[in-house]
Amino acid sequence: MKDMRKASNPFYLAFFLLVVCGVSTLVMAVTAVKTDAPIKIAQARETAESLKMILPPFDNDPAAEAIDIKSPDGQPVKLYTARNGGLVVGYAAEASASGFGGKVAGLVSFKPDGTIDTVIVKSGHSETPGIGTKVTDRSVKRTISDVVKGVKPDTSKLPPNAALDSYSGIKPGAEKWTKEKDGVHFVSGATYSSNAVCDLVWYAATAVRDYLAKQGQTESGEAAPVVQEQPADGNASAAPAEKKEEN
Amino acid sequence: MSIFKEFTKGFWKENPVLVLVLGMCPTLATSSDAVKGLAMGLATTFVLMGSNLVISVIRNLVPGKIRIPCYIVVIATFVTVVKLLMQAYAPEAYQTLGIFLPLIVVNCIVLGRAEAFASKNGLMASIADGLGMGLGFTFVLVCLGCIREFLAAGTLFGISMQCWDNGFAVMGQAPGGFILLGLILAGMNLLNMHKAKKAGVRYEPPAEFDCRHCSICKLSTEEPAKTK
Repeated sequence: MKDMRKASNPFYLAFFLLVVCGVSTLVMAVTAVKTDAPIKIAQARETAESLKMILPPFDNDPAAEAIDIKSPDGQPVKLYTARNGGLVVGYAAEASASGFGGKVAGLVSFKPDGTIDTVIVKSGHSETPGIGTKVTDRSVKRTISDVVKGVKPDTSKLPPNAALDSYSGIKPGAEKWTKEKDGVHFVSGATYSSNAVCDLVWYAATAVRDYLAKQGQTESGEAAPVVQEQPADGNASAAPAEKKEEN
Repeated sequence: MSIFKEFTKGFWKENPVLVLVLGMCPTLATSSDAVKGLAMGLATTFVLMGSNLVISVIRNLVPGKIRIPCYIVVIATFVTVVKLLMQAYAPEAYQTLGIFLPLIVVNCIVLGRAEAFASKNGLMASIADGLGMGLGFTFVLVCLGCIREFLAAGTLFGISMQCWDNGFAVMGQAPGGFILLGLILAGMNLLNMHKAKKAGVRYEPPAEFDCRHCSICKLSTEEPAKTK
């Protein structure tokens, strides 16, 4: 026994380290379990707040029915659909692109026809403060005289950002937007951040365009049954038959 | 040394950034604005206090050979706990700090205090030391953050001071932080020399802060001295 406790016994050292690791694992596990629900709530709250800011009033829970789609370039895009009284009032798509200091993630809202409405960049990016953030941030400007006078910042609408606002009202064409052709804003000195914003808006917009095109095909099939009944019926009966053959 | 002295030494006499010059990476990275510096400082303070507490309790049980891995495991546990708590209850601060929050594990200040102080001192003294060092670190980060934020963007804690919008952009970056920190360190040395001159002695940096006295490098078979 005395030998076991000896500080140079490798088995005792390994055992001691194992105990230390075991206790700390237990502490971390308990914290992880306890904070799991609050973390999910905090994350959901952030998304819900951003969606509320960029979409017209809606009465469904877009985050609950979010779907994962892909842009034509293969970039993953998360699509939120906002409905009011069952009618689609807008879409929001979340995409990311790499900027100067890593990934820049943003939310782009669309009108039901696929026109870009509002672009916001999510916090947590690491673009250069004062340079890249000119492109990405919509921060409320508070001044010391406002604080002294007690003027509260206006939180009812999004603060403007020339670069992000330049995407509002346009649709994706065949090629990526450029400054000359489409008038989107690139800030000189912040090329990487400007490109990142342009890329992520492009991914989101093209993904939504493709999604709407697909949606339009199926919807027109359902909406105009009189004209397309025959071919639709034919397809429907052909599909199970093919499946049977495969089986 | 009394408990109170252990607490206050972190602010000036043994300030982790200005005197010990430890933890430069988080100092320069998170002092680009005052709010970020405050969040980083408080998170580090919590980790320092917790790790000092636990290490002080287990200091007589840990075999000398594996003390460093044990301390790192304790520190990493506290950092993970802080990370989860911030993610749940302060998501904005969590996002601002980003990668620098998990990197507190490798902050030299935390391991330095564990090895140099908590492993040799009692419970209360270790907690006071951790709290003092942490708040001293926070104090420096907020001061640096205020100066850098003001010079770079004309704001303090995100509030515009209405002097300029687009000032001295390099101050918002790490090189600006280095330059500013160097100037502050030079100013501190000047102050200390001036004080020494008034007292009629030659100023010399305290010998115990010399690198050769750092026991972390002595990872040989010998065990560290348990008491000073």
